[in-house]
Amino acid sequence: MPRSTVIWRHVLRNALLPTISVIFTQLGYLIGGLVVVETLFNYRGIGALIFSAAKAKDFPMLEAGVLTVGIVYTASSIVADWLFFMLNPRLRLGGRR
Amino acid sequence: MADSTALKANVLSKRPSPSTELFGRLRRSPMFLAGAGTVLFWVLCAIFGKYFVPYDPLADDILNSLLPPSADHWLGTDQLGRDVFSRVITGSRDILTVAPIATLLGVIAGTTLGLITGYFGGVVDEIVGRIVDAFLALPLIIVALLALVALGASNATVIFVIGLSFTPIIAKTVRAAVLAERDLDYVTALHLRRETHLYIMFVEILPNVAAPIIVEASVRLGYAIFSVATLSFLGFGIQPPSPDWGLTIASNYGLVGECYWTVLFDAIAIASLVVGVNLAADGLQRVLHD
Repeated sequence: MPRSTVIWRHVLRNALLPTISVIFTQLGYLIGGLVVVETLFNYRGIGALIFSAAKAKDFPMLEAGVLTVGIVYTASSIVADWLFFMLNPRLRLGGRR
Repeated sequence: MADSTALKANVLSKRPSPSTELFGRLRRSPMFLAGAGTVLFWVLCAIFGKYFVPYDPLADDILNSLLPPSADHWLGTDQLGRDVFSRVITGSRDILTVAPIATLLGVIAGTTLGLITGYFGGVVDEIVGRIVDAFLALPLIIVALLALVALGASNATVIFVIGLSFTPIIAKTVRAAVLAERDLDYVTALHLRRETHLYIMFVEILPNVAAPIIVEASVRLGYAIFSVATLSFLGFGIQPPSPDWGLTIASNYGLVGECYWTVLFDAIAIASLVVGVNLAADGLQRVLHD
């Protein structure tokens, strides 16, 4: 079997699993950091929006912002789970855990 | 007979107690020592700092504002002429009261929750587990921001919010540790002795899961310090006129191009404290795990 097939098809597939879980746990900190970074650099993104809503005690805006971030975060967790599912045949084929 | 008892006593006394052995190994861990030393330095600054700093950290002196570091003002002065050195030294006070108390609150609540869910399992575990997952579905800072706007920012609410948001994470760790203990023979023996659930959970199982709880607590402390600093920077944590580092950076970061000293030393202080706590936590983890 060629070396490249071994590495790309078999080693990478298994090596990716912990990488994916780390990436998606970091995502939470990333989004939390968004608020700070956007405030610091005056970048008008959702982090700055949440921050200005919080400063002004604008609850509807704040709730909408937090909900949106929550949806993005949850959706990315689902993507991570799905990637796990695709990469790990033991999960996909319903074998023992 | 008397000989063998004496021998036994001798052998037993030669073996160091587990806690003595633990401290001995911690003393030999350079990682732990470096981290604990840094943290100890800031703790001492927090307690005694205000007695030996050269200036009052809150006293303004408009005529001497934004002076660069000199012999009079070792680290310069800020926009209001307040001495930066005095403010950095005394700035650890609030963050080092808020963050540890918040961590303690989270550890107490999380441990209780983790013991209950891990020990009882079944429906209780399912229900609490779902609520915990729902909590973890949002990033900490975002949740904390929402809660602090609703409750109003003060030291007490910051402690409450951070403690509460740490609870599910700690509960998860403790639950996993309790699950491993629950089916061991000594727990079965306790059931046979008809001990109460409360006794088994808190008197018998708790000491056996202490190691992961201590490690988790020390790791959480690092996150708590970082979260408090972040929230203070955003204006929802520690409130003025405290010389807190996060607050100082928030009010001076616009000046960083011309007057770096108003921001740099506070940033170094936060970084050193967080790195110190994390080093100590890492050292502790390594010693406890092998």
